Amino acid sequence: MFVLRAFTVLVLAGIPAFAGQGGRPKAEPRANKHPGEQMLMNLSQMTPEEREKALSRLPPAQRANIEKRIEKFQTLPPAQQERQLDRLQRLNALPPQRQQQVRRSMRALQDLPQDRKKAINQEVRRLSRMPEDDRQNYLNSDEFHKRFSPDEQKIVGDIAEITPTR
Amino acid sequence: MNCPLQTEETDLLLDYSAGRLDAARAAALTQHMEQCAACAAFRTEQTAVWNALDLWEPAPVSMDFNRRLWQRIDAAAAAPWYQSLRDSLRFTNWKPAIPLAAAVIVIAAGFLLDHPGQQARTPEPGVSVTNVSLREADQVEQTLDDIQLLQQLDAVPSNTGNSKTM
Repeated sequence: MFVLRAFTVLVLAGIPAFAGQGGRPKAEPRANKHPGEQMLMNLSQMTPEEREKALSRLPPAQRANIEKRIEKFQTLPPAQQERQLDRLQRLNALPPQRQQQVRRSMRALQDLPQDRKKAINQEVRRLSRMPEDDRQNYLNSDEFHKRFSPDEQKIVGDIAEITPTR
Repeated sequence: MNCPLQTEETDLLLDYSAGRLDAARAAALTQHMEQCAACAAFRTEQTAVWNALDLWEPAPVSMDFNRRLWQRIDAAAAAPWYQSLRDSLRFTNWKPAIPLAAAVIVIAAGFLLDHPGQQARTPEPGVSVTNVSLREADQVEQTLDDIQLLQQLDAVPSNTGNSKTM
C-alpha cells in the first residue's frame, strides 16, 4: 500500500515536468498569418461539403481549381505539408518586395538543369544546418562564390532565407 | 508536593495506580491525594480500570476451532476458478489501485490535451469561412502558387556529389 501511494505521488509530481518537456517539440505559434494562408488553412480543414459551400460564390472554374489544388496538397505526407507551410510562413513574413525576389528565385530554380537544381538543393540543406552567423559568412566566402554562379548564389541565398535551420 | 495533574505528570499517577512507584513517592502521593480531590478521583478511575482488567477473561477457543479453520482453508483452495475470479474482482481488493488509476487518467488527459489529433482541428477564428469572396479566392490561389513553387524544393533530390559552377 505504501509503495503504491509513493508511486502515485511520484507520478503526479512528475506531470508538470512531463508536460513542460514533452518529446514533441512545441510548434511555434503561427501568429498574424497571411490572409491567403489563413484562408487556405481554413478551407483545408473543412469537409468537402463545407468547402463546396464556402466556395459557392466563386466562378465554377476558379472554384474547381482551388478545390483540386487543395486536395492535391492534402495528399502530401503530413511532414511535407508542415515543411511547406513553414516555408510559406517565412516567405509571407518577408517584406513584399523581398517576397517577390524569393518567388523569382524559386521560378528561376525551376528552369535550371537537373544537376544544378541538385547542387542548389544540397547547398540549401547544408546552409540550414549552419548557425545564422556561419551561414552569412559562408554566403560571402570565396568557396561559395567559386561553386555557384552569381544567379545561383542569389537563388541559394533567397531559398535559404525561407528554409528553417535544423 | 506539586499536583501531578497540574504539572502534567500523569505518568506518575498511572504508575501509582499500577503499583509501580517506590514506597517513598507512593507515600507522598497518597498524602497529596488526601487533599487533592482531582488526583483522588483519577486514582479511583484507574483502580476501577485495573480491577476490570483483572476480572476479564478471554473467551475460550472452541475445541474444533483448528479443525474448522483448516476446513475453510481447504475449501478456499478447492474453490472453482470463477469463484476465485469473483473474489479477486471484489471492490475492496482493487481499492489500493484507485490512486494509481487516477494518476494514469490525469496523465492520459494531459497527453491528449498536449497532443490534439489532426481531426480535432477546427478552423481558426478571425476569418469567415462560410463564403469566400473573390478577393479571398485570389489570395488563396496566390498562396497555392507559392506552395507549388515551394514543393519543388522537396521534389529536387539532394546530390551527394559536389557542384560545379554554371
